[in-house]
Amino acid sequence: MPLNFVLFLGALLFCAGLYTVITKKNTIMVLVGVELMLNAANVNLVAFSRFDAVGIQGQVFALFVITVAAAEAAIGLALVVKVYQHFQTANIDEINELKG
Amino acid sequence: MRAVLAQQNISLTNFLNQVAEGLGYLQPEITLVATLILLLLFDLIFKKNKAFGFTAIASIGFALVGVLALLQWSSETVSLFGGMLSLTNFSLLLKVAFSFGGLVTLLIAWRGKDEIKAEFFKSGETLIMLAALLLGAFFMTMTMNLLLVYVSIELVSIASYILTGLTGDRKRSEAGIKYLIFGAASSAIMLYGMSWLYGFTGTLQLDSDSFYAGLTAVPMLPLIIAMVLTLAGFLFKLGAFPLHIWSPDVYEATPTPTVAMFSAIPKLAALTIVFRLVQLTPDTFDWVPILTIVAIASMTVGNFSALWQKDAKRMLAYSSIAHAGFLLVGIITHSETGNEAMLFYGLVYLIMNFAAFFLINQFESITGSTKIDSLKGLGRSMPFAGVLMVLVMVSLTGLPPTAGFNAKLYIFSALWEAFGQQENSWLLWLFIFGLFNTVVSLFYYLKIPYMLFFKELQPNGIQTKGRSADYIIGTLLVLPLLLLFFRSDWFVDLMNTINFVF
Repeated sequence: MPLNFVLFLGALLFCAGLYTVITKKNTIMVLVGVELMLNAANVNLVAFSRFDAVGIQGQVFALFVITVAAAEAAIGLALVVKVYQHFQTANIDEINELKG
Repeated sequence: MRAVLAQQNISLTNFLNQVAEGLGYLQPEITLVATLILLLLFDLIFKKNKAFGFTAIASIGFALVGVLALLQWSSETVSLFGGMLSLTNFSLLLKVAFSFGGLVTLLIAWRGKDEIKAEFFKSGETLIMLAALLLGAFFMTMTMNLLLVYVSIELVSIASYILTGLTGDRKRSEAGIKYLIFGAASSAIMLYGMSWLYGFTGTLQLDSDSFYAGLTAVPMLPLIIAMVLTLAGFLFKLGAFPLHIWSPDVYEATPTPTVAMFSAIPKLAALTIVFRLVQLTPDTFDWVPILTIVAIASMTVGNFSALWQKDAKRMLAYSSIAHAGFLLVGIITHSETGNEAMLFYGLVYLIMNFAAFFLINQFESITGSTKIDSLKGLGRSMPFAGVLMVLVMVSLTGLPPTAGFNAKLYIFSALWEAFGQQENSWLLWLFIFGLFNTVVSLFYYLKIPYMLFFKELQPNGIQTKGRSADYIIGTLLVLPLLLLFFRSDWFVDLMNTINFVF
């Protein structure tokens, strides 16, 4: 597969993720958007890894990203549960008591 | 693995030796991990009255970390783990400052109101997360590899999310989720930028030749996009415009000791990463416009938003956004004096912020609130604490006779010098906006002394008897600010020995 296709897929995933993060109101959907953006980076990293002169740094990086993203998602979902206990909603627009 | 090693002409034995040698230099980090594990075990083994044990383990651990970092002091650069880490006295100085910050955080918690004490010393989670945050910040000061940059930033971030949101009330869960969404999105953006940098250069190693050569060969537009995307994650940690929006909410909701930690340590660690990235990119790439816009916007947004704040912690959050702008000035000048001024400003900023939060915490434990209004008249019944607060606020503004003045003076004179040499009009605008913003900041910082001394005490039966331990600690925190004003040459001599090349 030519490199361009893969990079295009990465860019598409990134834009879709960013769009989701910006437009969606539900916190869980926002986290899904973040996940899409991380995977866009992963696709890029793995694709570029083929041209690495030294080793497979890109693929290793992608593995780290997957692991860290899992940890972050775990914290994120725990926080959503916590917020839901307090606010009875996961809608970002309704979680707005801190202002100034 | 063997193929990789063969390509690099390193035998496995050599490689293992390198790792073993590297571990020897990581004593502070290993001590931090040991502290973390000890805290965890202590929490699991003992059932009751854990406060004393937690305090002892954490404070001895943090103090030991600082001492070990100090013992490693030398003016040469050591490259560890095949170049992944680079240990200079720049990073050692920051590590010492960070472990000092960790100790002060413990002190603030120890002198805080009962809820804060309970959170810190009843169960181990908070202290463990503080240790993890410090560990991430330590690695951020040394890293030379994009992978390690990402992992250490995430370590700091995840520890911060937990500290903010996973316990406590409505406000904290709200602040936590906002923090997490901003953080996760900006680190994803950073990662996408990093993937492009990797694509351009074929390496993750920031100081390698192919990184430099790759960046020189790439056309300007894609390079600018990739760099700006990468910068997003660093600016989030630095709390600079446009990724500063989380900080007021987080500062307001989180307990004061934790906020003191957030306000200084991840910021300085992120600053070193920006500094490193700017230093290691080729001169063909012009950082000045991008960073100048960020710096001017941070100063202006931070200072003007701070004017309307009613909560002292929220006000200091906006002030820290403005200070992030000033810290970036040192990087923009791209000169030896600018680097020294940046480091001086960073260290003074750390001391000022810890002192400010210590005093706010002290007033909070008396009035039970961090609202600026609640300070009314307290300066008259507690003159000593009031005067300390005034000194810290004067230092944050940047007026004599405090070290804040020297810090601002050095940074502005470095900027003026750089403008004289480079004749770059961006620098002139930065200079004008910086001076203008210093004047603006006077109005909100001096609101606190005004409330303390020029308003009548509210007759609501507040117990205003000060505690002598607080006075002693407060004095010890404020004293460096005065000392560094009168004897700033000590510090400048120290700065001259710092090695800014990695």
